[in-house]
Amino acid sequence: MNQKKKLTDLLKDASFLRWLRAGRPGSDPEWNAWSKEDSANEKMAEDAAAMEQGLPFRQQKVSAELTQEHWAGIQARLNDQDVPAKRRRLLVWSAAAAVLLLVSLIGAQWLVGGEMAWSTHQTAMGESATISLPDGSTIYLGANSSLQYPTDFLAAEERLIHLEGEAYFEVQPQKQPKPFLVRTPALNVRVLGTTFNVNAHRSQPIVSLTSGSLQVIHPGTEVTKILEPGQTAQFIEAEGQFNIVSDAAAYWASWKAGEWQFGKDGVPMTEVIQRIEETYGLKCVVDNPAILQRRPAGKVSIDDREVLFASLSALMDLDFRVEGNELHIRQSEN
Amino acid sequence: MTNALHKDNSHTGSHLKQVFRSELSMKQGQRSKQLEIRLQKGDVSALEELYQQYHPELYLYALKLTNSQDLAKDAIQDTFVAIWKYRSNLAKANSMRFYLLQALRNQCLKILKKRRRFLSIGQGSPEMVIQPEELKLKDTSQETKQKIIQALYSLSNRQREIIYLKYYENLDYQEIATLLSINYQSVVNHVHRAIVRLRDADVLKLLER
Repeated sequence: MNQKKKLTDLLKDASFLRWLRAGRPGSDPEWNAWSKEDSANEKMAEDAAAMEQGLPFRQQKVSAELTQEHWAGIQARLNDQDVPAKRRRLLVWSAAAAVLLLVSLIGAQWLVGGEMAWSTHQTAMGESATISLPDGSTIYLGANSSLQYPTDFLAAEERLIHLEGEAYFEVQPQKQPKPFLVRTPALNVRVLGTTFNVNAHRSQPIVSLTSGSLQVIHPGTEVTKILEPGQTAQFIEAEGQFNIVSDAAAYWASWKAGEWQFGKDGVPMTEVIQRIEETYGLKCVVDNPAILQRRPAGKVSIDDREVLFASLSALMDLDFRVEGNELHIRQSEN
Repeated sequence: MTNALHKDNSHTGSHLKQVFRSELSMKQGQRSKQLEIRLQKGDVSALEELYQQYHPELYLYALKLTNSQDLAKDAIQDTFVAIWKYRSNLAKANSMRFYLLQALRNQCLKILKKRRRFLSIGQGSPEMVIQPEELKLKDTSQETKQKIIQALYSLSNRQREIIYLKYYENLDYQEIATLLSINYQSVVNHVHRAIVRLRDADVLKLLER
């Protein structure tokens, strides 16, 4: 047994596999000798053993109702193919009757169950709130935002949150694996045990992942993407896919610490303006388009809006003045 | 002495297991032959039997491939309608289960392509999520899960699909090669690299053995 062996061949060799499964060193002296011949052989045996052992998957279950439901759809289509045209009319009627029955069944269920009850949390302009969910997860709700979850949050099959506005999530993993799903009007986020921020103020929400792993789902096109920690995603409609950047996560996570971190490289002024409008409900007016080209860097406090405007003013040498519903941003006079 | 005895026992054990397994697969073989004959005669109840037997694992695989309950359902239904339509082709299939997995995978890729979610049929695998909860873990702390998530996502989509086929669906290297239209050697290489990677990330020891 002195010729070199390839892993591929070894995995086809019944005597090798037997020897491997019995635990090393095993009862087969030839294979014992081979593995001691040189360290490469021993390493190969070790790798092969790990490959044979593999990963212990849990057996997943599919509910009998789902199996039945899918079968009903198949049956309907089989009937449609097999039945000659004359009989189809009758089928249409019986299908209609079935639909009616289904509708009345659903209706009855709704009447019995009543409407789904929701817990709602809401923040005013410039305000934020910390919400503890029944499962131990924490949500920091940003300004001018609202969040709803079913009152039977723990009993439901998935942990479902409806979000309008912005929130930072610290999701508590559970012993019984249960998906955590954040729905916003234009984007869904499926969480795999994680901390992340969702800004759904915008028509295309921005999702930023601090740690863990999550999947963003664009419901319109069903395009999905799995994010890695540090990545920020926004769906670009024109391209039909997500734009991913990896240098914005600190900015998107910073508001819950009472500041905006623009970082060393700064953030476009247009982004800051949009953020001010979302957070304080003000309309920003700029007297010189050159202001929009700027990129403030560093960080500012957002404890309250006067403090924010004062620090932005110092940082950028601009005047910030609130006039009614508008925030006027001008070049400083001196 | 005790050592040798122990080894002998385990040897006999695995031998028995093999005999038992081949008997089992013979019985299954006969059953699926009968199913096949009934199917070809146009017996819908045979299709339903086939469906009931394989729906759960097929649905879970479709769910993995498409990442969507709706698309998985479509893929399952299209597959069985197609099997019914082309039931005469069944005679060429060696194993019903493998034939179904193959038909389903093609259907899933077709649907994904139509949805522009996955563009290259024949190369690569769609994005496949494996969550730590799907594995038997020694402990379910956040830290453990985090580590496993990171390690699983450091694998390529192809590696994740192959891992799933090998260790959840229990397909052998040759079956995986046929299913994915790649050669035997590359399946072995993918499994090898994935396992070494998980071991290097210290993840294998977090799993129940």
